[in-house]
Amino acid sequence: MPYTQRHLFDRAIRTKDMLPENIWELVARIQSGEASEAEEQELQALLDQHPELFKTILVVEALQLTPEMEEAADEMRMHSWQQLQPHIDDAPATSRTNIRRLLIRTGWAAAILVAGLLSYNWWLHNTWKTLATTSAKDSLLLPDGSRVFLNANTTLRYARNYGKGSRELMLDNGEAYFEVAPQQNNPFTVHAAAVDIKVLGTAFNVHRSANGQVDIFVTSGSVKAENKSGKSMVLHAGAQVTSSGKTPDIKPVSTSTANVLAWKTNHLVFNQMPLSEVAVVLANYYQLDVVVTDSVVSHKVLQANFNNKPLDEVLDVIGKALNVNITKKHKTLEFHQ
Amino acid sequence: MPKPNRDFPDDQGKELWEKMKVEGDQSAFASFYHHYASRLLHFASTLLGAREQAEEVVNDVMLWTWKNRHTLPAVEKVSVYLYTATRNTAYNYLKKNARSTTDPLDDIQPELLQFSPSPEQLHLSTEAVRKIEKAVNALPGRCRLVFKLIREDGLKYREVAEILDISVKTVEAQMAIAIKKLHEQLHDMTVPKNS
Repeated sequence: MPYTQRHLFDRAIRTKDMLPENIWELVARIQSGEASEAEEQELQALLDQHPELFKTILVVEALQLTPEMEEAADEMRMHSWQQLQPHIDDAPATSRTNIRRLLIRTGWAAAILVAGLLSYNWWLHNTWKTLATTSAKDSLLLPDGSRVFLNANTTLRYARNYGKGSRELMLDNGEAYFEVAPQQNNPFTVHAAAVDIKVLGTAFNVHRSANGQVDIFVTSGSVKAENKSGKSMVLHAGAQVTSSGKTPDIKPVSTSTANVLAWKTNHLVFNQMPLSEVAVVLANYYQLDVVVTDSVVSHKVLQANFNNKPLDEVLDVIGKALNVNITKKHKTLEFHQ
Repeated sequence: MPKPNRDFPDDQGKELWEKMKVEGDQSAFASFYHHYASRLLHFASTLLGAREQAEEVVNDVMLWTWKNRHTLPAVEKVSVYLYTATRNTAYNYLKKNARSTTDPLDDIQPELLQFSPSPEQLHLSTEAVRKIEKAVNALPGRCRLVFKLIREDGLKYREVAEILDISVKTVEAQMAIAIKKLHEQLHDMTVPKNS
């Protein structure tokens, strides 16, 4: 806009000239992206004579469907998806669902017998089974066919009765990636600090920091994240959000998702990334504390890919590429000129 | 809730459409469904006025798309294809239930098409916002639906005309009416203090 809003509003009050008859069609065309260049110039000229039009144009540009409308539609979507799911089974069936059907058909008698024997054992144990990693990563198949990948220094618990009416997991510490086997009547929920993540058929990553911050990244399908204060958000593939332990908000994160799963893929991607951000990625991946000392150095931009490389080799490349010195002491790195 | 997309990300939808056609697995369909269903459900609700029927219609369209995924045509814009299919299915539904003898666009539910100026884009006084909402609420449902499809979904006049089965001239006229009414309501507005 060539003028300040205030200036235009002031002038608007003084103007009394008649507007041309086709003015609303013209404004509509411009607001709809339908106008030709000549029409844009025509409106520009009219705006000089009739600055009061600016106010209307600004308002039209800012008009949006209210958030309530969007929320109602999202809620409908979740409901109708539940309705639709039983009908999409006749897909070119995957082998997994075939096996499951077979088990359902033949397995009941055996399952009832075994359940009777096991129920006594359940009382003797806790209601949770704990999986923990220290320096090494791990992955395992859960009883329902879902797969869990655990980063180093991670503790995850799952309910003893996992898969029987519900699938509940508790991320006590660290980071995990979930590939969830779709099961209609068996909701999959991950509890992480103050956030509950309910799965609607999908794969996603959860990182729980020691301070209670929870970061979620969805790679396929969708999940619903809900925190203890009742705030919830449906996340689709590609979405990345964070929830700090202190405020009740769940907020979208706009930083690059290229390295969120690096701990699992062992592939680091730095696409024109400033060293200050590279440091954070390295810290997470190599489980280090990284310190960038110099502000000149931290603004240098890195373009590099590393596939399953040891830290020393990565540092060597970065040092040479950006002409920076790196000193390494225990779990601390320093980048300087 | 994240901010609605002013420009409906149809490029991403087209990728999902192709992925569903080629790979044809359930997760590809799920992504496709969740990408489009909210908008289609909203659209169907405005045409039919009832939530259950809207869900039935949209799921009909989606299920048909899923079942015929391997033979789906190449489309220019997936949203136009889906909106048109939803409109056809909704009209058939209305015809079958003999609810509508006249133009279904006359019966659009305006309560699902409420607009408000986004505070992030424009700082306005409460009084100004009230006036704007009053102007929008005075618009007929058909007019608001056209406005929604153009401004929220980033569709072209001819695309909206195709979806609603009306002429391009009518689309343009509805947009012009919406803007004219807003202007009339705004004309005696006092200068906003915080802009």
